[in-house]
Amino acid sequence: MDVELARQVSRALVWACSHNRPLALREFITMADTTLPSEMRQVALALDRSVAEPNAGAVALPAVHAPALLEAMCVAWSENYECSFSFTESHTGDLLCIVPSESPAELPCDGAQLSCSELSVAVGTPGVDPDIDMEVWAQINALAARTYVPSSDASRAGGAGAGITDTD
Amino acid sequence: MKPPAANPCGPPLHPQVELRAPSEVMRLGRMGSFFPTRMSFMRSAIRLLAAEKQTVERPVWEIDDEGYGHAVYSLGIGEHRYSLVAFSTQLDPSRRTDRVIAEAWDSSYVLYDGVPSEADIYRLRHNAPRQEAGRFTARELVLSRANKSLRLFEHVADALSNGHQPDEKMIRSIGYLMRTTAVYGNGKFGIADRLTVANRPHLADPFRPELLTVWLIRAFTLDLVQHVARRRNPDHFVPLDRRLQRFLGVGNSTGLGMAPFLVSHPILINNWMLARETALARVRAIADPSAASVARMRALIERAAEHLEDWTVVDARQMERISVLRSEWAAVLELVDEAYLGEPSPWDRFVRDSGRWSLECQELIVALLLEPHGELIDGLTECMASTIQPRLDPAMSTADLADLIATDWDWATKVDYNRAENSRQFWYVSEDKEEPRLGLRYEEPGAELEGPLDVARRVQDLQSDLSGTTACSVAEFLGDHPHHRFACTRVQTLARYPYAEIRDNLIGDGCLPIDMLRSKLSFFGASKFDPRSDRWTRITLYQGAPLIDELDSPTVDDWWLPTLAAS
Repeated sequence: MDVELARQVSRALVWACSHNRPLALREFITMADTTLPSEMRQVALALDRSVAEPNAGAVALPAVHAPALLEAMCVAWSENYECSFSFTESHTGDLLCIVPSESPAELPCDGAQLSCSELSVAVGTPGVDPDIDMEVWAQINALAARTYVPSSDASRAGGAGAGITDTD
Repeated sequence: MKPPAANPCGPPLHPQVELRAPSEVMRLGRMGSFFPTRMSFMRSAIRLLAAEKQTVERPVWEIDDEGYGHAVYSLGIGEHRYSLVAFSTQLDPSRRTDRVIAEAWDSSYVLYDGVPSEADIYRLRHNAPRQEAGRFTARELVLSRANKSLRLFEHVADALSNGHQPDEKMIRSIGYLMRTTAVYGNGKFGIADRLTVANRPHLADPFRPELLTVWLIRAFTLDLVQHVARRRNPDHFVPLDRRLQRFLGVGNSTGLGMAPFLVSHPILINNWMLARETALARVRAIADPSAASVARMRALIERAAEHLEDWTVVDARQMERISVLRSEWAAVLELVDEAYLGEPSPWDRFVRDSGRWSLECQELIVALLLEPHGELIDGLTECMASTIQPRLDPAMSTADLADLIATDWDWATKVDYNRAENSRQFWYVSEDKEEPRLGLRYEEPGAELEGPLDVARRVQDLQSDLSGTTACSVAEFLGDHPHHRFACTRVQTLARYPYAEIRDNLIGDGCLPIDMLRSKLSFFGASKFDPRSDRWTRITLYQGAPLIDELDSPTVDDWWLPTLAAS
């Protein structure tokens, strides 16, 4: 995952955790090694296209396996670009459409529509300190640890450079 | 859709000359020559406390005869109170190290949001000394630790206990009783996230909680050494002379950990640099300075000369630079006489003339020029914070993006990264306490986990892929090249925030992390850079600063480039 996209996903997760949407974090943890990277890429691109061409109508995505994280991403984009989105899902869950809320285009999907008014209420609402249980923290830390380089005597001695004894 | 403001300082309110170009300022060589200025975060913190007539209390002092135990220092700012909870603990000398990977220290600290109860102190006594291994809550704003300068601490305690003041030469040489080896804030290891206090105006400035903590730590070190001395020999003890107390700051060992920050916060760095350069541009625009400011400038030039005489380091490269600077400063003293300063626009002329000297001298002159002009420039410190994150503009055309790269990124795109010397280093995070490190790509494992500090190389890759693309929007381009999102964002950010990028290759042989460290530390207000390698440095914080009971002193803001004589 591109580092900038990773930052945007992390900001979305911070929003989700502080607005009582723990499911987004669980989706992230359980799908980090499977569908999540490509799905978030597609979501980001769809949101980018909506921002770039707000009158172009709905942008379709294949079925989204991380709907809570999708909501959080929409909020992150909404905050960033001061616009808002609607999205709908078909009854079979096999198509999701992201629509800029000003767009007059007809939605190509059936199914319940999640009004972006719910999202726009969430945007700008101050969050609360999330209460994340220790098991989830451990899973997050385990994922983070995969970005760390194993240490060695050489890296410990020369990688950062400080001496090991007080010379004052 | 509103674009973010390009200049957080707004339109010019004062006359100013043209700012120095980012292509001149944002180079590692110059950044690694910065000196602290009156706009530094420590200076503005002390000015705030003085303006609000704050007082610091010490409601708890539970330290035994040997100097071990805990203490609490408390001050109120606005509607809030903040407390330093300090723990002094025994440490086996074999375990004493300044490295982030240490596991025990002479002292540990927490900046507590409020006044801690006995239950809080009990909890913190069992966690603060463990530092990263401890458990903390959102009431802890800052976590820190410090080791003694064994030689100086013992010397001072011994001298005071025997009824005399310590050796000034040693104090001048070392400059601190303890040095911090980490000062953590912003949510690290479970402490409060920065957002917790972001809406408190007095904590909005960059690193304000952390630097307040260090100022209070300084007070603790001074109290501790005098306590130990008094308990050793109460009949003969004398307190430490205030002048010496003022000259003692808090040491710090700063390593690579600080460097990636300059790359991961481009808009914030832009704001720091833009405020500093705007301040300089205002000062340079003064055509006819007052006699008072001219006199003050002359006095500060002389003080700088004394400071340079005191500044001695073991690193050969830096000592050579200091030697050159000393001889150049002698030339400055000779040049900048009354006649010189009596000409029109002397400050602008001074900057132009400084081009003949080294970068260290040029940047010392910049810091010098800012010092007497508080009324003109101190307000710019309010422009140095940022809550804005870099934001991709997906609607931009790829043609426009390519133009931006062609206009402002030749320092990145003209480099051959296939040559080893241009890609030899890689930045990464070690599994050892998440310590940032710098590896050698062709000799060590781990480059596949490289961090995104290779901005220049990524932008070159982006330029290459753009050249083969039919014109479209950035959003469409990223559909086929999703891995360029970061580089696209950086290019677009620089167009709005011109001082956002360090315009050098950060993975090549020429990148000396020490240049990045010194640049950031100068904004903190640190002095006496004492590099120990190209990757870490000792510094002193708050040297010369007012003591905790001196916030009402008329010289509360006069501690730039401190000397023992002036303390």
